[in-house]
Amino acid sequence: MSDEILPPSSSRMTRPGRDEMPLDDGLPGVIDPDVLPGPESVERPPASRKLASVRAPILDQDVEDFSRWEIDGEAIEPPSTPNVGRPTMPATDAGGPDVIRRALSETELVVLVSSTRSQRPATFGELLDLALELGE
Amino acid sequence: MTGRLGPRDGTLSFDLAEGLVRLGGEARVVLPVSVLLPIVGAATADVRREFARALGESIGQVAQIRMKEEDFAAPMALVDASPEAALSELAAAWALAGLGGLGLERWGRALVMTLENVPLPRDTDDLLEVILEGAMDRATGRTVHVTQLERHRNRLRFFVGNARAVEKLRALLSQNLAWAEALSQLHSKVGDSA
Repeated sequence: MSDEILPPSSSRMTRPGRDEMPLDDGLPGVIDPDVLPGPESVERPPASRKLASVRAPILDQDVEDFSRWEIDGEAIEPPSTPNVGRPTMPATDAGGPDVIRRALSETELVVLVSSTRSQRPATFGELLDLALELGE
Repeated sequence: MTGRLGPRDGTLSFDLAEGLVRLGGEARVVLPVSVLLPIVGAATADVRREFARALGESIGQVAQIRMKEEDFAAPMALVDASPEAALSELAAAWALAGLGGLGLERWGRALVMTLENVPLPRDTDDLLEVILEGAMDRATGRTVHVTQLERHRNRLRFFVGNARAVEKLRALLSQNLAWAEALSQLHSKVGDSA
C-alpha cells in the first residue's frame, strides 16, 4: 500500500528484550540489571547463580510461642489472622469522636504562701529603704 | 493620664535628617571617650563632681521616664516597681549613657550596684560614685550615698547606703579589710547597736 506512511530508515526500532525493559531495570551496556538490588519484597538469587537462596523463618528457640500458653487450664487459640490494622473507634452518629477538652479553672487552684515572703521587699523602694537603714 | 503616640523620651533617638540625638526630652551630644577624658581630667574637683552629678541625674531621669512609659495608663514610680523591673530601667538608662552594664546585688541588707564594661579608666572611679549617686537620687527620690568596694578586672562594685554607713565602710576599707568582711561588720554593728 503506497499510502501507508513508513518510518524513516533512521528511525529507532524497538529491540525485543531490551527496549521493553523497564527503565529502572538497568541501562544496557552500562548497568547490569542482574547485580542491581531489586525491590525489598523480591528476593533475588545470588549473582553467582550457583546456590538458590532459601530464606527460612528465623525463630528464637528460647522463646516460647506464648499464643499457645494455657491459662487456668484452658488453651487459648491464637487468632487466625493477625490484626495489623489501626485500632478502630466505634462509629458515632457524627462520624467522629466526641472530644472533651479540659477547661481551664477560673479560680486559683493553689495558693503559695511563703514564710519568708515578708522578709523580702516587694518593691525596689522597700529594698532601698532597708539598705538605707543599714549602719544607722 | 492617657497614652501618647510618637517617639518616647526614654528611648535614644537619632534624627539623621535633622542631625539630632535626643534622650530624656533633651538633645544629646555623642562624644568620643578620648575627647571627654582630657576635659574631665583638667577640671577641678568641684567641677568634676558637678559634671558627674549632672550626668547621673540625667540617667536617673531617663530611668524614671522609662518606668512611666512602661504603662501610660497607670504610670509607676521606680520605687514602686519590683526590684527586677526597676533595675531593668535603671540599667537601660545607664547603658544609653554608654557607661557599661549596671547590675544589682544584695549582701544581707546591703545594696551593691555592679558595673561591667565601663569604658572609663580606673582614675575616674570617683566619678562613677557620684554618677551613681545622682542617678539613684533622681530615679528614686531618696538621698543615697555611694562608695566603691572594689574594681576587679572588668567589674566594679559600689555600696549604696546612707551617709553614716558609707563613712563607716570607707573607714573599714581603709584598714585594708576585704570589702565583703567590711559589709559583714557593717551588719554586725547594726546588731550591736540594737
